[in-house]
Amino acid sequence: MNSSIEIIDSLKLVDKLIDRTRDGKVSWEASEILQMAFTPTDISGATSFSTTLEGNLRAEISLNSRNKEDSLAFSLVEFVPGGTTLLTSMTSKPDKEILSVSVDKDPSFGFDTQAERELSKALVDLYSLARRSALKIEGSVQKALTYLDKLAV
Amino acid sequence: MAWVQAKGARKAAEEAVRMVRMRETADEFLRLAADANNLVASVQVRNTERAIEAANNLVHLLMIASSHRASYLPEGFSLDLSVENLRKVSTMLASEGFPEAPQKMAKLLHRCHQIHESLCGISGSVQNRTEGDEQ
Repeated sequence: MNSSIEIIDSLKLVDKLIDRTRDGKVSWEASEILQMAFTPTDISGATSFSTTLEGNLRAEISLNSRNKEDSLAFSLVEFVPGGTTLLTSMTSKPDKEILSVSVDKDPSFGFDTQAERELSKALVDLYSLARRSALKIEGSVQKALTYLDKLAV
Repeated sequence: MAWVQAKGARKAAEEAVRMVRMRETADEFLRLAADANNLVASVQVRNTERAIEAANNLVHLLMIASSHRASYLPEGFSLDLSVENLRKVSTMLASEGFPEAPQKMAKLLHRCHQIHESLCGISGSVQNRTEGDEQ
């Protein structure tokens, strides 16, 4: 259950992250634990992405499936500089979650509020952009377009 | 002098029309709220056919009312969300029937109550504004 304050704050952040990601000024990567499961060159199955913002802040977005229903989770995390591994996180100070929201992607009986609906739509966009950024889809599409343009000449 | 009187009379007539339209809007949304109450009752007794029919009728009437009464509706009440949620309720009931899981059934009932509450809120808000303007 998200509070209305969390939804409003998240919407502001997500909107800006969408803009900066579209501008190419913010880039995303598959989340650390997932990178261990997937090889660095094969992260196509990743469903969790993160980006480091100024200082020790990290934004994370993930797609979770449960009981045939997809939900999107977004969080802003304050992390310990220097990086945490699974081993060190057990002994040292854990990451601090500053903000965390979770919304259903397409709830069976609709959204509770207009703000929740807006947040869900924004998170769908951000997840798609984060995935494209992490998988470097833009570059591949451009490469394919350039190749096809060359064939036309 | 006659021109000033005519202008005043026209303004009074326009105001009277506006008050009538506002009262009609409050009544219309009160009727829609009663329809939403029927939807709640149909869902509570798990009557699929009646619930789907009630949801579809409400979508139809709400879409007409939202454009027809747009200028009299209070700010902050979103009819779009109610229409979207009613469509989802209708589609879900038609394709999958009533949910078996108690949690999902509670969610469906909560949603229907929420739609009823929204329509009551719109009617009450317009009614209050009409009474405020009359004083």
